[in-house]
Amino acid sequence: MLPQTVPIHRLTIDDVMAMEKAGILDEDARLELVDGVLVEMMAPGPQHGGALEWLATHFYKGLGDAYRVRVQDTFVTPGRNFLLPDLMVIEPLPRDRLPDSALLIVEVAYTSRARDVEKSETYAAVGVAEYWIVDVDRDDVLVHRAPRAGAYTSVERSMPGDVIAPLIDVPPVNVAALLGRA
Amino acid sequence: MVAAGILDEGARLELVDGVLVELSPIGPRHGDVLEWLTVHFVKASGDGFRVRVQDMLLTPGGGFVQPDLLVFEPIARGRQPSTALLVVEVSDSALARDHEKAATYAAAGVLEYWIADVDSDELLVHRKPCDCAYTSIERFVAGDTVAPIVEAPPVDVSALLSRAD
Repeated sequence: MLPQTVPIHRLTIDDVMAMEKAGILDEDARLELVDGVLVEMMAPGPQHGGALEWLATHFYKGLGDAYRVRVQDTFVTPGRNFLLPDLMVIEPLPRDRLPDSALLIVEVAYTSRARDVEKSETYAAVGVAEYWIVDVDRDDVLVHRAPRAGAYTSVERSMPGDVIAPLIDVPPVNVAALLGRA
Repeated sequence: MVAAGILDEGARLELVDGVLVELSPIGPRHGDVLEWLTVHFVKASGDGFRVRVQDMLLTPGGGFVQPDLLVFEPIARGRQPSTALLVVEVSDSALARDHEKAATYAAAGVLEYWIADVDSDELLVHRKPCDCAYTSIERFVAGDTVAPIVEAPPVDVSALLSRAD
């Protein structure tokens, strides 16, 4: 572990994109940038794919033209960092622009939701109105709302049998169906 | 600076807070084109086929690849597909690698493999896999429409690769 005093040369999203373009970084590598440091994402497990497929289908079919849906795409965070949320609902952007705000972000957690819980501070700080963590191991969805001063002030746990009504205008989510328990 | 030859006149640049920023072809257009494809195929999905984005396709030998778009016949929950009806890669910088992947996808029995090349603005359609190669490859450009192997509306290449909002 590096001592805290070591001055890390912090990268930015612009550096990372240039590295991918130059072939230094594999553009297929699943990397996020946190405080200027590249972080690897864990390889997804089999349950992850099914839950994300369900969510993507639900949102792509249910959303009108007012919003766009992105799956595992780049979300720019403060300090020119970035994350790769599993799913985000954003307002339409001009082409050639990466999103830095969203109406809803969903992460599907596998094995451990610790990292996804840490991300809630980042998402709350940039004002993402709603943040869900879908946990396919624990069979629940943690719904975070009301971001204030860098934290979500409302967190509710939903389980199979529950229905979650997103804040945006899209059909409600049947938690059992999402988790493959229907 | 362009006139003085300091900057390449082909460079895609913008000025943000007084700093010159290069508009990278990676990221923004990749996301837009992938989103267009996802919307197009998800809307037609259902009992006939399912759609996944950047999810695992299992390969022989215990490995996996993560194609941008995977269109496959429905499988049981908790299973990962090991073949597909259609795979699409949106390519901006690693076109050579996306070409190399054709062998992997053909060997996995993926019936159709598309490369959406956002730099050259063309769609390469690989069909008829035979062992490790596709025996039919066709190139489409703006103005063409392509009928996918799955039951979904034809793809308008101009709309897919559009650079407009």
